Parts: sequence; C-alpha cells; structure tokens
Amino acid sequence: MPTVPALRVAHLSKRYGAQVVLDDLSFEVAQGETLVLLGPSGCGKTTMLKTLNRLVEPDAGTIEVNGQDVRQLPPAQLRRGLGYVIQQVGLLPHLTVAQNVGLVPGLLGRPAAETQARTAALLERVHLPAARFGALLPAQLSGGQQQRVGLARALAADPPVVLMDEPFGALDPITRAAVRRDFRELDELRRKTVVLVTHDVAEAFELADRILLLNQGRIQQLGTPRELLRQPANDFVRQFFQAERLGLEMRVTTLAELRPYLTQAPLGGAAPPEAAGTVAGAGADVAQPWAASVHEALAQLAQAPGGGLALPGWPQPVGQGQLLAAFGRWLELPSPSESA
Amino acid sequence: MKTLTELLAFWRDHLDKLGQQTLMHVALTAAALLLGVAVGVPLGIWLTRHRRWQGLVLGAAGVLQTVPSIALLGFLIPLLGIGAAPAILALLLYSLLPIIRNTVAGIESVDPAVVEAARGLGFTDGQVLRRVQLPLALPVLMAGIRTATVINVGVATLAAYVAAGGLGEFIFGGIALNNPAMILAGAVPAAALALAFDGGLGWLERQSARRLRAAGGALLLALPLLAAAYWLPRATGRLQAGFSPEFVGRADCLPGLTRTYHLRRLPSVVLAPALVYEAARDGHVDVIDGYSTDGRIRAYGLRVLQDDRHALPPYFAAPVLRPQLLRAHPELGPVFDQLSGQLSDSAMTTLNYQVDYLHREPRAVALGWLHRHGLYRAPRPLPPGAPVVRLGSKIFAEQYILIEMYAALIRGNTNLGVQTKTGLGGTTICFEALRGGKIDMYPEYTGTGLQVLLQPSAAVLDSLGGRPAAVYQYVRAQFARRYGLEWRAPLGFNNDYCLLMRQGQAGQLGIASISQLGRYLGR
Repeated sequence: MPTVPALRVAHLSKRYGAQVVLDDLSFEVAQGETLVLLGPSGCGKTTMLKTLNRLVEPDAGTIEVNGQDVRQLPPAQLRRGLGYVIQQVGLLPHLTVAQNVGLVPGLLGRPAAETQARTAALLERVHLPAARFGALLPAQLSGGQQQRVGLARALAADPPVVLMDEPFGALDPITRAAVRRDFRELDELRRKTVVLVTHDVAEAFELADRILLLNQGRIQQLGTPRELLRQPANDFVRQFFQAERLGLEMRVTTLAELRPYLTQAPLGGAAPPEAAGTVAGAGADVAQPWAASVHEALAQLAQAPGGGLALPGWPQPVGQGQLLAAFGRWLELPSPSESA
Repeated sequence: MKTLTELLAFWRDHLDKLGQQTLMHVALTAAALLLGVAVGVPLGIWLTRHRRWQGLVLGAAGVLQTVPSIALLGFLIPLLGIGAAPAILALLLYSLLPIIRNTVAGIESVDPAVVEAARGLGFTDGQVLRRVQLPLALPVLMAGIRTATVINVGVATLAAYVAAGGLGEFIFGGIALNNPAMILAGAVPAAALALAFDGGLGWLERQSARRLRAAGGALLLALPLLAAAYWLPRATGRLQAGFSPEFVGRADCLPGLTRTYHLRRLPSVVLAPALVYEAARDGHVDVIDGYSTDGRIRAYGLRVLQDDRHALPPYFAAPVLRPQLLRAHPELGPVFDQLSGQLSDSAMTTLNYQVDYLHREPRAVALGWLHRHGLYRAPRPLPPGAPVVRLGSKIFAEQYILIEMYAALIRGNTNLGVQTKTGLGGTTICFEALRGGKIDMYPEYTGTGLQVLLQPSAAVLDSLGGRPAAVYQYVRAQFARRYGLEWRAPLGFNNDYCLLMRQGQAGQLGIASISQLGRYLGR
C-alpha cells in the first residue's frame, strides 16, 4: 500500500483584510515525521497550524489529513483526531489533572475504565504518577508540570497527528530543557506525526525532522535542519540562522564529518586516564557513535567530566578539548593552539 | 419601646396575614428571579457571541434600572392590569441588569487560552459553553443573581400597590395610617428576607465549584415551587373588592363597614389609591373604595353605594394654616374665607372630572370656576421684596385645583407673592411641613385630621358619632391646642370615603346601598 502523507497542504492562502498572512503554501508531512514551523513572530506559523485543525478557516487551498479533506469533517470531530498543545496549556481549571487528561477519550465516548487506565499510563510517562498528581487541580501544579499534563492530554486519545503551538514557550529555560527532553524521549510521540510551531531556532534544530521556515506568509525553505543551515535557499534563510550559527552547526555536524580534523594526540599533551576510558551508556544511546552530532557527543562528555568518548576504529577515547579543537578546525576557526 | 410592643402586638393579631404576605413576597421574588435567570442568562450568553449588541442591551437594561419602580408599575398597569403579572414583570425588568451583566462578565472572564484549548481538543460550541464557560463563570453569575434577589425583595414591597400582595400591604397601610408599628410589621420581615436571601446566596457563592453546581441546580428547582406558593387557593366570593391601604387599615373604614353592614365573603386585594378606579372600570375588581367627589366616578361610570347607616366618617375640606401667617398678614383671612361654603359636592366632582378625565390643567379649571363665580381678579403687580405665602397640596387632582384657586385669590386680592408646593406625598408629609414652617397652608379634610393625625380613642369617636359639625369642632379645637394650627371654615363639600361599583353591575344586581351589598353577599 503506497503510504499516504499524514498531512498534505496545497495552495493554502489566508488574509486578514488587506494583510496576507498565508500566501499559497504547499507542503506534505510524512507519517511519523516531526515538522517544525519556524519563523519570526508574525510570519504566519501559528495561523498555519490553526488551519490544520480548522481553528482558522483558510480563504483558499486544501488540507488533507491522512488523505481526507478536513472540510469534509465537522470541526469538533476533526479536532478530536488531532492532538493539540498550546503555549498557555489551557487546562480546564475546574477539573482535576486526571479529568483533564481524560477529556478527549470522554468526548469520543470511550469506556471510562479504558480512559482511566490510559490516563494513568500517560501521567506515569510524563513523570506525574496518577496516584500523586491525578486528583490535583491544575493550579496546584508548576508551569512545567502543567505543560506535561497538556502533553498527556493531547496524546490521550492516541491521535495519529499532534499539533503543538510553542509548547515550551512559557517555561523558564531550565524547566524548558527538562520538559523538552521528556518530550523527545516520549516513545508515544516518536511514532506520531508532529507539527510544532516555535520561534526558537535551537529548539527547532533539536526536535525537527524537517523545518518549514516561514516569513511574511511565504515558505522560505523546507528541509532538514542540515539542509537549511548548509544549503540556504536565500539570504533570509542564511541570515535567520546567522546569530546562532555555531550552536546549530554543532547540532548538524557529525563526528564522521570531523574525523579528518581529529588529531591522534589530545591537545595539551597527557593522555586521559584509562579508568575514565569510556562514558557509560554512550554506545547504547548512539547506535553508531560516528553518526552522533558534536552537540550530542559534548552532552555525553559533560556527564563525565574529564572522561573520553570511545569511537570505533579510533585508538584512544576522544576528550572534550580534542573534540572542540577538531570542530574549530572544521569550521576554519583558529584553534586554541594556533592562536597561542 | 412603645413602638416595639405595638409591633409585637400587631404581629400577634395579624399572624396569619403576616405568614401569607411573607409567603407571597417570597413567591413574587422567586417567580421574578426564575424568569430573570431564564431570560437574563441566555441573553448574556448571546451577548458574549454578538459583542456589538452589548452596549445597546446593557444600556437598555441600565435605563430600565433607573426608572422609578412606582413609575414602572404605572406603565405596566394599562398593559397587564393589576395583580401578579405587572408586579412580576416589573421585578423581572429590575433583575435583568445584574443578571445579564454578570453573565457577560463571568463568561468573558474565562481565560481565552482555556477556551481555545477546549475548542482545539474537539469540544463543540455547546460543550465549550456547558462544560467550560458556564462552570467557570458560575461564581460571577451567582453574584449577579444575588444582587438581583436583594433588589427584588426590596422592590417587591411595591407589589402591594398593584394588588399583588406581599409585605408592602402592611408598609403602605402603615404609611397611609401614620402607624409606625404597622410600617415596621412589613418592613422588618422584608429586611429580614433580604438579609436571609443575601446570606444564603452568599454562602452558596463560597462553596466549591462542584457543590455550587449542585446547589445552583437545587435553586433552579426550588424557585418554581416557591413561585407556585403564590397561586395557592385563596378565599373566593361572589364579588371581588379592591381597597386602598388606608381604607383597609382604618378602624372607621373597612372594619367599621364590615361591622355595621355585616359584610361577609368579600375577598379583597390591596391597591394603590390611584389605581382602584381603573381596576374597577376594567373589571379586575367589583367593589372599591373612593372619594365621593372624585371626577373618575362620573368618568368611569361608577355608582356610589349609599352609606345608609352613616358608618363612614365625614370629610369636609378646609384650609389649615399657621396662625403666624394671619398675624403677619391679616388681609389673608378674608381671602381664604372667600371660598367658604362655596363648593358643593357636585361642583367639586365636576371640577375633578375636568382634571382627572378631560385632562385639563388644574390651573385653568380653577381660574374658570373663579371667573364664573365672580371671584377672579387680575394679579396685582408685586412690590419688590414682597413676602411670599407658601401653599402645599397632597398628590391628587382636587388638592391641585384648590391650591390654584387660593393662589389666584391671594395674587388678585393682596400684595403678597405665592409659591405652591404641590404633590406632597401624603397627609403626614403635608402636616409635618406645615408644623415645621416649610409651608403656610394646605387643604385638609376633617376626617383625615381626626383619624390619621389626632387618632382619638374609640370613646371619643363614638361621642362624635360621624356628625360633620361635631367632627369639625373637635378637630379645630384639638389642632389649635395640640399643634397651634388653625382650621378655617369648610369649603362646603364632603369628600368622604364611599364604596363604589360599576353602574352596570350594580344595576343588574340591584345594589344601590351598602346595606343591599351586605344582603347580596350574605345570600
């Protein structure tokens, strides 16, 4: 069976008065793919997202979810099949955490016992065990906990497609990193098609399979993070990533790419002690260590200060300084030793 | 202290009536509230979805709120007659503003993110309303209902003016009779009701959302039951009477008549004095009380039932004034006396008819009569700084006409200025204004002076025996002694209380006198 794209958007346009918000957008999202809608504020990304579940009706164009035109379904029914997470979370303040998570299964008329089991399982997975948190009211939770409940609520009815509008936007940086990590690690979500709106470039690079970069209602480029960074389609795309270029390169550059720039000897002489030879669990997380990004490798090393990363076919574990030096050479930055 | 014992005694004597009136009061309030919620809440919800109408609808409800309640009732009578319908509609109109406004405010205070999330999850518009907006708006909405309830308990006292019953019957009876204990007998339970409702709903508001919803549901169920209490079966009879509060309460009026003529099985409602005539004309009631010189008797085709046993006291009109006025301006005495004995019952009835029914200006009517009787003189030019005589009147046509006559006589025969203060709310207000020197003179009736102001013992009343001259002499002497006020000679007409029926009905039943009425009812 030829796979139908999870979402197909064709010639979508929307204007508010004289202002064109969406200008003839066409793209597809594959099953299981995470597409990030990225762009400066006012570029139309949130409007784009809301046309998908008909919170905003477009002026022209078609949208198909799993091959079905969304206009053929009543909006409420369409939305029950699409998970929805927003920045302000929007938990119903008069219902408990568990009741909030069980809302959509309830709307769909699923048996109460099934909903209850599903709610408990989901709350467990977002680290809010139902026994402790299920009976609380949203106001009794922190911002990060509320957003986790919001996520569980969007997944409760097991929708094939989940729409997210700046889901981490209202959280402080530390909570945000933690929630985002949970989000990334959530099995449930990996199997789903996700369309996520953000204005945060690092977030987009961390989460996206592909990024749709929008400006003034037009698609500037659609591609993998690597493509957008390495082969920008126009000046807007290039300049959009300029400010955070270094961090983004770390995310898209693999250790394999760095291999020619890695020297045998670590910078500054002495070999690392044998005892700290490999970082525990390194091999488990990254199936092919050479395919890991610099960012991932550095994150692993940061968990074992002074340690090194064992790479297949490489004589010695690679340390943090060694890795940064190679990355600098690859970027054609002056290395610390050359400038010294 | 004296008032308190009187109050307790009054309650003891009227316990069944107190219970009935309280029940009616609660029923009226509950019925209006139920309708207010049924109309106001959906309207409020509609307004949150059609925001451009908010200004207009809330503005209109606000204007309704500012219409004096007695005026609002006055507007509704021609449309709905008397009884519960106009009272409930008036209460409903007063309860709309707080209910609509708080519904709108409550729904709009719901976090838009919560509404968006709910819609995004697949709630239909109706589900968003029922499961998100209304539950979250409920505390604000309840506060609006609470405000409306307290307003309604207060305004419902006015229902007594349109024969809808309630605690206002005691209050207005008490005002008409200058009887503080009777006023309190209605006002205290009314205030207690308002406090109880307010406290109960306030307690409701503080409950958790879940209990609030349960209690709100219970309230909605209870309201129709409370309202239904209003239509409990009442005594019925062959004729229905409608009486003004003063007539019902005064010993020499309805109770005296009932005793003298053995009036039985005459169920009555209490009505504003201004409304009894219309109520009789329109057939809402069959027997009313009235003043024998009222212009509407002729205009509405009513028949005065002859007081063949002279149970009703005489009401000869005469100017009452401050003696200081005559000492300062002796020339005024003869001027006031120019009208003495000049106005017969039929003359006064004709004049009243021109004002009440033909809607002519009291001033024009008064001047016309003076012309015809050769009493009119053109106003003299006023010397600068001329003293001013202040004339007061009660709030009905006859008094307006008399005041215009006196004003014209003073202007034409003296060098004094005249200021008229017409429409003073009642006997007590006129009397206190005169005693306090706020006015110099007003026309009073011997019967009113006797019963309302002097309130003599039953023994004294018996000794006077309803003889006009004896009553006048007694009132004149007592006013001079107790209050230092002077009664001038009566004008001639006897504007006494009378019982009235529609001519057609009275003729059909062969009733021309109160004795015949008593016999008809007793049959």
